[in-house]
Amino acid sequence: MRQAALKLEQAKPLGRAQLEGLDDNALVTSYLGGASRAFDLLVERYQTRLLNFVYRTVGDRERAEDLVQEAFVRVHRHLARFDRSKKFSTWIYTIASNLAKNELRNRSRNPLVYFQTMTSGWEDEDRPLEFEDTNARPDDEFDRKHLRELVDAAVKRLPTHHREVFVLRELEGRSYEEIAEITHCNLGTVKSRLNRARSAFAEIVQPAL
Amino acid sequence: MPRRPSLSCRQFRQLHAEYVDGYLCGERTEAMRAHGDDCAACSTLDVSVRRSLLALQTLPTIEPSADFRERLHERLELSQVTERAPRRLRIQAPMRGIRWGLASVVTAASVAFLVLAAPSKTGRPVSPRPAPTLARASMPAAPALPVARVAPVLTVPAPVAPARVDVVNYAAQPAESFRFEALPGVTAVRRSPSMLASPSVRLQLASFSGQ
Repeated sequence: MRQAALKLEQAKPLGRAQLEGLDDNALVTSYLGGASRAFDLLVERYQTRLLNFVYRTVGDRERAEDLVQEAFVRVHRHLARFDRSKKFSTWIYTIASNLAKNELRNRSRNPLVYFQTMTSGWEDEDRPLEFEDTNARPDDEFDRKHLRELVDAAVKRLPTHHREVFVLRELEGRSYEEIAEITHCNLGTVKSRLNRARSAFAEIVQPAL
Repeated sequence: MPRRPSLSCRQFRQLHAEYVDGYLCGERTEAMRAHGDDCAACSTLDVSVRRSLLALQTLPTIEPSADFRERLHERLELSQVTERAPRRLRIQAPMRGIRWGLASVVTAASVAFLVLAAPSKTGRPVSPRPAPTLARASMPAAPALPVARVAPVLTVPAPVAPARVDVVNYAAQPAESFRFEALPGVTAVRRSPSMLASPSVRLQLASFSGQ
């Protein structure tokens, strides 16, 4: 019956509008059935989200793009083996998460360290000076820009394990269970890391609010 | 008047993420609220976390660069070309089962033949116990057995069976069991770390790449 369904899909090429109405797993099925546009649609759905997730994790925009592309290449390569009873989003995020973690691990072994990814502990002397500048200008746009930079830097300063959970929850909206699956942790660890990440984030950002 | 359930500061902090996200049951939520009313430190934590999370909305969404899709398509094409090349080295998973199955049949047939052909001293039927040396002799030596004719295409001499099993096991693994151990600049990673650890497999790969 599955083969018959696949053959039917092959017989009737799906238009873009029809493909857009399909969920991720149905797009995977369509692609494996011959609808080449289906993979493009998956890329379109996930490229921005994955890029933001990986960028917030590794802190380097160019490298984040490389890693996201690598994630799509791997997804494409192993698509036929993807278990369609599971969530596609969890699978692709897991791949991206592993690539990001490998990137950070390789950087820590490399003498050339990227400042954006330095994950020091919560020591006061590690705080950049600009965060201690309390001369607020009345210009709203300046304040918003300053806050954006502060928030961006605060996320980057979180320890890697906390940052990953924090980004997946706060910026990507993943559930605790999905985060546990993506990061290969149990639920208790996810909650604990999220608690710590939120507290640490608030500690940096709150004085500016 | 019913007594409100009380929590410690430690419990408050442990449950705080779920409290903020609204995942606690009614009774627990009430207990968290009650503790916040009674504890200034925990109340401050709650307020500061909630306010700082609102600040996340100021973060801009980063868009992929203009040539992102184009570069991705190039990588996908290159990946497909690279993927085709190493396939000659891989033994298809079903062939392993066929080979071992044929080997088992040949072994059993050899044993049965020898048992039936050997004369019995007592006249009683001889129980077909396989002799260890005979079993070893009938173990498949790749060039001699018929199974070699159906052996997968290899451009290098076949290693000892266990190493080959490693290769086959890898090829048969579902995608979810892959550990995507990525290194910058490394492409076409169809090799698992455990596979690379096998000396005979490294020899295979080295031979294939002409090293």
